[in-house]
Amino acid sequence: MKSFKIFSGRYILRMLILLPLVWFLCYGTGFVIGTVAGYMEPDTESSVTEEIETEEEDEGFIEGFMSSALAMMGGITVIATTGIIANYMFRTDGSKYVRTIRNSHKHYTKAYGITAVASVFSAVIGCLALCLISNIMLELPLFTEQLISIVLCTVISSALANIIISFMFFVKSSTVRGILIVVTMISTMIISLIISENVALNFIVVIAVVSLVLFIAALIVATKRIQRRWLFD
Amino acid sequence: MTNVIETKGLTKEYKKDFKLGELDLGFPKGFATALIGANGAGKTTLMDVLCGITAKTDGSVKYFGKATDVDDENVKDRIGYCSSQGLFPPNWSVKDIISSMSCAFDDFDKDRFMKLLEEMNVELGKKNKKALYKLSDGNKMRVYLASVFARRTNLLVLDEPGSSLDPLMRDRLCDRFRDYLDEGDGENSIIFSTHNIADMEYAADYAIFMDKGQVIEQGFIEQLKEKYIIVSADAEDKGKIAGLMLTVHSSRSTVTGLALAENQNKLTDAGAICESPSLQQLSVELLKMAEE
Repeated sequence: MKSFKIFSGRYILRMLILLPLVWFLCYGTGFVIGTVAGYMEPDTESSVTEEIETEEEDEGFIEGFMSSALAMMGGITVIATTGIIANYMFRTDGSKYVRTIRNSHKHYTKAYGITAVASVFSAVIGCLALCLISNIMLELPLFTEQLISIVLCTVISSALANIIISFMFFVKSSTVRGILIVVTMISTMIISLIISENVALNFIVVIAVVSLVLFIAALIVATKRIQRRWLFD
Repeated sequence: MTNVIETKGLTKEYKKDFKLGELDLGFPKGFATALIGANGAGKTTLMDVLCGITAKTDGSVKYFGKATDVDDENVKDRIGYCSSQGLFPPNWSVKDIISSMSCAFDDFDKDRFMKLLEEMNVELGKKNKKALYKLSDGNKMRVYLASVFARRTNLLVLDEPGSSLDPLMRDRLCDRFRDYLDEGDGENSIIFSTHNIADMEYAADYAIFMDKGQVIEQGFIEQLKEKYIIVSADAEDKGKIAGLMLTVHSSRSTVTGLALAENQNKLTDAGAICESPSLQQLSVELLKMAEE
């Protein structure tokens, strides 16, 4: 059987392009405004105090940048995952056609499994790319510990997103699925922000490992569910 | 007689709401089988289970005398399924249907599909880009049916194909059924459901009557018409004939109902008039009997 896509990938692509653009716009605007406001303040501080404040501002800038980058990557993961999962929702609610095609459930099991795993990898790679671009373009320093923390938090956020998304295969109501999407988006962003700012690296490693284990478990359960033709209940 | 599909102990349960089965059925090969029943009888559920669209809870199904899983070999490639609702995504146009059907089924004939749409007078818009949701229910059904007839299949499973069609189109559909069966030379079969058999009576060879997930009667239509009779008598004769009848409907002046043909002589002696039922009459009486 030839493979084909019923769902248009344009939606996912638009979200994947739009979200970082919006993020850059917000962050860039805030940065410009902040810089202009800083230049307009009266020059009354001593040079030593100014250096200390500048350093603190830079650190705060880096932390803020990385935190929001992390949240953005989590958001991209969610959009990418849910956009693809929305395809299955649509098939369930709107079309019997695909279920008349030979071995369709095996095709979906494989497709979902690959999508879920790929979303975690793509989020991590995207985050690393973002950090690298920031390092080059904005001349921001990349601290190893921060980088590891960011990568792990990205893994946690995308794994969490996939875990919540997997519940979609157990509900029939499109309203409940919509709620699951919103919960996924909000919770992954909040949790990734909280972890990145408040949790020590060691503990982040533990959380990341636990998240991956839960993610694998959710993946197995969801694919088994698809194989048992969850679409067809 | 060989069967195109056989079921043994087939069951489908929707939690506590509805149970289909257990069904032991044989759909005869080379014939058109009508699944007749009221709304909620389980016709759609049965067809969805047979086509692998819904998972069965228990039991077995054998396809084309060999395969026991609808995903085995090329079973689904040989079955053309058509639903009355939600067959294709509503934002699809005919152009989208052509590209996806061509991709999914090697035997889909695009030219035949377009020809069928033209014969059915379906308005497709510029460059065939009119979305399905903009078509009337009747035109949507025509598109669905055309997509199925444009494939080379051995079994058509059609859920309420006549429900949203006008009487002229239903008549043409019956002709198309006969053409499909003739083309197959005994290898092609049709299973279709309906709750209004009157317009499609002559398209069906075999009938399965369903009520609340169970089969209440089945058989070749001609044999069923010989098995049952419609009885009419004066109201005053009700006492004499009621015991011989399967269903009784009385008014002030007459009493009518269904009876077994083997009781025809006794009923005639009691003053009743007996006649062979139409499929429509048989459907109504059998479903009433199941209700009672």
